[in-house]
Amino acid sequence: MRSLKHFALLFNKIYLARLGKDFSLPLVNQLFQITGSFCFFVLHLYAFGLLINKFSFPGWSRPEMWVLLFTFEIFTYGAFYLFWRGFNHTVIDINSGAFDLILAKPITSRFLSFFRGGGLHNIICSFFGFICLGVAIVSFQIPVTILTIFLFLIFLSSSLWIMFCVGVSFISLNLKYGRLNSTIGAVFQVQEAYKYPSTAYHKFNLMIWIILSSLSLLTTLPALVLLSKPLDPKLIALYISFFIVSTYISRFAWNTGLRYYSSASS
Amino acid sequence: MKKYFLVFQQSFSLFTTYRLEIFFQIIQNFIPSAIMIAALSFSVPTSTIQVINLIPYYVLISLIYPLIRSGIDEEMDNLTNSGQINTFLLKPFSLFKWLYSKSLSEKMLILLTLSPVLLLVLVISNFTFFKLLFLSISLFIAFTLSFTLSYFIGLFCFWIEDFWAVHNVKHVTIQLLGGIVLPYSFFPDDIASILRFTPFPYIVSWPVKIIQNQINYVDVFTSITWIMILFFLVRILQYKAIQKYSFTAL
Repeated sequence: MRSLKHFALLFNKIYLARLGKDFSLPLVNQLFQITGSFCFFVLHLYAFGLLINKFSFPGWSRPEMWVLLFTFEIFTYGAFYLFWRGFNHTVIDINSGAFDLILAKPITSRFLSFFRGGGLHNIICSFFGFICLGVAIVSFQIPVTILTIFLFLIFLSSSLWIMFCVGVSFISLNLKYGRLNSTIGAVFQVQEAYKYPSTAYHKFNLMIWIILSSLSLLTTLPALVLLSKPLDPKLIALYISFFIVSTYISRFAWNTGLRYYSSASS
Repeated sequence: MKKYFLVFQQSFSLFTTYRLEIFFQIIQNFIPSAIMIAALSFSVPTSTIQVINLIPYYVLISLIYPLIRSGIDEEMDNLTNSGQINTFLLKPFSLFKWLYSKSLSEKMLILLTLSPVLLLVLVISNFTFFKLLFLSISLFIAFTLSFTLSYFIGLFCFWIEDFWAVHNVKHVTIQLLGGIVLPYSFFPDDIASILRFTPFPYIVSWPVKIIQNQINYVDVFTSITWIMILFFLVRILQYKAIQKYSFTAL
């Protein structure tokens, strides 16, 4: 419990320091950064609008699909804010040898490598996602309660943790195989799966169903609880299993990778 | 020309060293469209567009896009930030040609890796020698167009500090307007007709259309015109960028 408090304190300091740095930038730079980040928001919104004009998903009405999309936006930008800098810099550090410095510090290397603060523009876009979600709830008259909002936030946080673990597992490959820049965005490459309801994959064979539904559940489950839709016990079991397995694998992959890491000088 | 050929050879050797990276680059293009097709498989179409018709399009887009995509603007940003660009300003070496040779070597390696699949696709789509030749030309033109556009945008890094934002806007624009995220059949008719006059359809969709036996010779003219316009703009902007550039060594 004490170490958890210690990590929370450090996490807070790192992220606040980074936000402070971003706030100190000239307004023009901040606007540029927000534009660069926000363009993806617009891309998803526009493409999704075009798509649901041509296709509908059984069991999901159009308003519910928009709730899912805004959950996706909040989730993706939240993940970018929390992990992108860490994922990016860890790969650079491993390849340049700067990773030695992290290993030499008296704190767990996984924490120090991956939690390096996030961009203000990402948190602003995530916040904008919350606003859009609120507008959608009000305009489509979707009933929500304090409990559903609370559960929504809980599931969203655990989904972010799962995404972090999957990302760490991919990046650990760099420790063994050297330069694998594509692993930085691996978890973001599969973000298409987060956009569609997990029920869309139920007719596939077991293997594909497990992979796609697990990924899709990261946003579908928070959206389901917010919409107060009935939860399939099979999907909840899959989500919990994904949580446990990804947590274990990321720890294993990182520790195994560290054994292969040979530094830049060798 | 010989020195640029050497750059090509060196880069080719470098890229073959990190073969797994090439594999990831190819695979990552298939993932978003494969997921989208999987999600749409059990959806209900509310228009004339059927999922089954989208599959060949997305397979071809995923095959062609890694051959054409250019992220040279990001590399230019790194070169200016680190000061490595000074080499090109002091020595008789063209930055444009150097980067072009490097990119071309990477694309050649990807083409070699993808060639068995591409050949299979060509056989399935009843290809003649003439169409193969036309496809090769279109791929070369499309890559040059993509590279020149990327280089042109990359020159803005001499003025803009947070260049990644510009790169993101470029990436999103190409993804959306280039028909990578969604085919043009999803767009409203008026937008689709305007897009024909922009460079975006000639970056990825054009070679895909050729494989699907939709050959239009006017496209060659339009795409080459766009390359010439962009090349002219590059010359002007590069001149201004070098005038603006300053670097203080640490």
